Amino acid sequence: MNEQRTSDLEWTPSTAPAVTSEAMRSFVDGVSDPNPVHTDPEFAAKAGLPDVVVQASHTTAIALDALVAQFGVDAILNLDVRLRGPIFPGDEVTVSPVSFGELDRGVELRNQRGDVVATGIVVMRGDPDE
Amino acid sequence: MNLETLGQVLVETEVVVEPASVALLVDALGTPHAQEVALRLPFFGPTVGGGDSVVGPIELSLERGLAGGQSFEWHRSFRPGERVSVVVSVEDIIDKGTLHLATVLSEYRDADGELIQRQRTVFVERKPAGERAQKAAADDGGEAGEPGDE
Repeated sequence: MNEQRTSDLEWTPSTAPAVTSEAMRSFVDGVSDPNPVHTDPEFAAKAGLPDVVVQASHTTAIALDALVAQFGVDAILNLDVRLRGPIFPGDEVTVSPVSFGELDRGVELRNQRGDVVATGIVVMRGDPDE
Repeated sequence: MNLETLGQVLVETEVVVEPASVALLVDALGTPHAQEVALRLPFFGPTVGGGDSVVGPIELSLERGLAGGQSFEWHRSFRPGERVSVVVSVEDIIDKGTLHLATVLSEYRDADGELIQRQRTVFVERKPAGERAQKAAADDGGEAGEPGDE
């Protein structure tokens, strides 16, 4: 189990593999989400979107994957993600550490155009607010 | 949205952590740690009782609504093949100007009743255009908002 404080560790930004339509379909099938906004471009257009969008848990998974790669799965206790923009097929999402305050450890997800698509607060084992 | 669903339990059931579903999530992520990540979120609370089990009762419009956020409190990872109980409830649902906001809480427990995970999903729904226009007029010319403006 990782008992180190993450503030004492190097945390480097990492870029997830480009999100493909096939990956989006696999994810929504895996979590049994029937919302067509993730799979049907025509439905997405009716919702005012230019294309299908990545499912919420898929976005969370991209953030969590970056954290797990750097700290290990057991180090991460809570993750609170706010979705700030859509992730579309073909997007490459970079997960970076950001600070939202002394106690809050933040993550920021940006697409390849530099748009923030999500932000999050993570609580790690050993944090003061654990 | 149906604001009267506040506090209601919408789903109370048992589900199995299907290895095939976990494999789909692993494929979707395609990273070295995908298996560990997949076992932290193999279920999406709002659909764990069936596609319409939450969207139906809270009357969420899929054309005007999107997930606005998600939070997880992990006590351990799920185990492939294990049977877990899940309770999905409406923790919060409010009218906020031109929007409706709902927080759906999902709690997963193992056979001994031990908590595995708490998962919250916040849905943001724009009110129909007519209602937004009425709201703007009532606000003396204020502009109708969009998700993300809050």
